[in-house]
Amino acid sequence: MSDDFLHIGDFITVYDDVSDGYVGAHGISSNQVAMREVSDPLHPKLVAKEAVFVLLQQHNYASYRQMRSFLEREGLSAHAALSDPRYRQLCDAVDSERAHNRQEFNQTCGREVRYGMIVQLQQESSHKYLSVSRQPAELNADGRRVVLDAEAAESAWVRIMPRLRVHSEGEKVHVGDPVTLEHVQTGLRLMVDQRLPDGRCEVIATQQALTGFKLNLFRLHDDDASAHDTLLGSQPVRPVPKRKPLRLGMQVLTPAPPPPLHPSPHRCDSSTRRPRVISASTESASRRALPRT
Amino acid sequence: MLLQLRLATGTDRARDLSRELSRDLHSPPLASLAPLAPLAPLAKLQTRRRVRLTRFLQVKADLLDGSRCAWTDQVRLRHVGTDCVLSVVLSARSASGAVLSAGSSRETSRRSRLTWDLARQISRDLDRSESGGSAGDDSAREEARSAPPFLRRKTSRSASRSTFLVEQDDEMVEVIPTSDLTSELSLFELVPQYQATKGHVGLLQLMRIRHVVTGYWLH
Repeated sequence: MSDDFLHIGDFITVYDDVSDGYVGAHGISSNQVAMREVSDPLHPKLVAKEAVFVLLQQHNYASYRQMRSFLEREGLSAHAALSDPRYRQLCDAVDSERAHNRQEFNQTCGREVRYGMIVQLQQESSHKYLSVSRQPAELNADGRRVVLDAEAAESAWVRIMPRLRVHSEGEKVHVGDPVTLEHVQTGLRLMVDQRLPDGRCEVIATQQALTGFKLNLFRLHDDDASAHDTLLGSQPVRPVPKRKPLRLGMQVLTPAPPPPLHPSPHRCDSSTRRPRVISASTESASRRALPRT
Repeated sequence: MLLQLRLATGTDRARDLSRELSRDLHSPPLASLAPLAPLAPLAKLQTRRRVRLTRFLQVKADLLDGSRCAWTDQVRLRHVGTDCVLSVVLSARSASGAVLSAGSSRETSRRSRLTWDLARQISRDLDRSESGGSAGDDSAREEARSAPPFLRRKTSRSASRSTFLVEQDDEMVEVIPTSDLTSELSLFELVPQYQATKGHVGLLQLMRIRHVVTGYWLH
């Protein structure tokens, strides 16, 4: 299988070469999708958390849509509708639909992505889907806001369209090809817009999209599948010495502040908090103190 | 020092791996990877804290490369709890006992002093070790005096022996945490225990961690 093509299940980044930045979002503190430039000082720190997405196939949300329409029709919250047997049936149907989607992902994982195919982009760190909301964009009223949403359902469907005329629908998508991302429900296209107050550039969905993105490969799908015994990039590990019961660790030391000569208002000095490399030499002692299971 | 890299995730796969590893007589069982639920609340807190303290992200030199790690790749060890990477401050204890520390601005001059100190000690050890031995290694000795320390180890058998003596004299560089994720001083490479090992880095394979710039090993 060639590595030049994109596959379902690949871990990718969405790169804009005009602005030289990666599309991403924090996912927890903020769901707003924006582009952080490479020159941003926070780029090396956050890019692996924010900008890595998993390419998923088009999921089915028929049962989920029925459940949402039932709640809207009855005017109930999800918690209040739990006593209704019809709602519980719908919840069971949603669960089986999710299981079917997972099963279908396992079957389609590794299949080449082609132009015109509908996919979903799921952020790796937060497991939320890239979607287009109904709200207008923050800085541009003509466009819609692009957010991360865990319950995005069909608003997470995105069609990969060629940016250049040399590519046509049905062709396989190469890694690094310029593409445009078209939202299926609204027909809007994603583009990078004005700069937000935090320094990132807002990503919006609009009709006159001028931005072409490049889908770069972060990790192959089969790398992740065969990762039982091999080390992956950006994988959490723990270095363990072979012959000594030690672990390499690091902790933030907060030295006790000197007693104040004059009472002053509370003030936190961040310079006193600095990390230090330690070797957990008390590992064996602390493990003995723990109850063993 | 031989090391193993073990998964530090909370997944079932990691727990299975930890049970498998606990059968190894030479290594302790991974109590920190065990399921947390059955433990008492206080012990649970300690265990979680220890998990956070000893968990690192293995980041490649290219930050956006999440593929399988090969033995030739250069990596950084990024601590999860403090979000700092392990880096090296170029310092050494000179013959007079003074500590030479290096920062970013005066890095070059300090590195040269470090090299000079090491070269002086190595030449002294060479003279000591070869005073009663063979006298045919003059060229190797001269080469050892002029070459950087980590290259000097490969010049001759006696040179490698004397390098070992130097390391026994506490000639070490200090490992510090820094927040600069792009510095060359934070790049390490994983070296397998057996030279015939090739391909991708296995989680259970024994390895040493060598600093790329200085060539020093993590102890």
